[in-house]
Amino acid sequence: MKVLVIVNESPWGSTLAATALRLVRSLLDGEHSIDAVFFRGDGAYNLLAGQGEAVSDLAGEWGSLAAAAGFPLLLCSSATARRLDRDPGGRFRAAGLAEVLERMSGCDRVVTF
Amino acid sequence: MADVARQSVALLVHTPPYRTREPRAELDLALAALSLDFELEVYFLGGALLQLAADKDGAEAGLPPGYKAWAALAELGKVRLFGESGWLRRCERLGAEWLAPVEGLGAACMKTRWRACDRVIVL
Repeated sequence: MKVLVIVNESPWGSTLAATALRLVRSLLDGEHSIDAVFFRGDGAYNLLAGQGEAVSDLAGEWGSLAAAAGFPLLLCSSATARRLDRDPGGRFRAAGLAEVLERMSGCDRVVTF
Repeated sequence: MADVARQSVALLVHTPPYRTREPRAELDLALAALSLDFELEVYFLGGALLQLAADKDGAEAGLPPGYKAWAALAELGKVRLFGESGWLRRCERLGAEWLAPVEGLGAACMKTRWRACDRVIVL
């Protein structure tokens, strides 16, 4: 099963981003495939590296997982432009809504956090 | 680009208006979906229905232009707007007028419609 995951929450605003990460890991363990993970709204903050124990380093974990499984980490371009003053780095890249909707149509499931 | 014609997508909107700029981001997603020929159903859950109230303007609060341009969706494609019937009745009793036609649904009907859509996105 091919799954598109959408993350709306920052790593520190709630536990949903961490839950999304765990779901992606479980899906990959279960031999499903991840088409992409799309970060919109405050989810764009998942790009930022952690700051010690206060904010866990989900950016590093997302990057490792994406590199190992070969799926892209997509940042909503307008959400990122409003929140961050630098270009995405590492495995993250900016994407527009059109790309996400197109990917959505080719996936078996869309899971939103 | 993949052929997405005739696929239906339901957007589940929770955000009440005027608190954040999130409603504008939700509207952007709806506009993009219609631009790509999806059939769109937008469900305003709870107080999110007030995004459709016609008598308020977010400009004075510094909210972005087009913040509540939900009425523009119909110009782009096939779209239906839904609210929870209890909220709809309560707002209309208080004299609310809507930016665009909105249909009231009970919880069971709403879930049935969500299942009938090809994709559901929770915003």
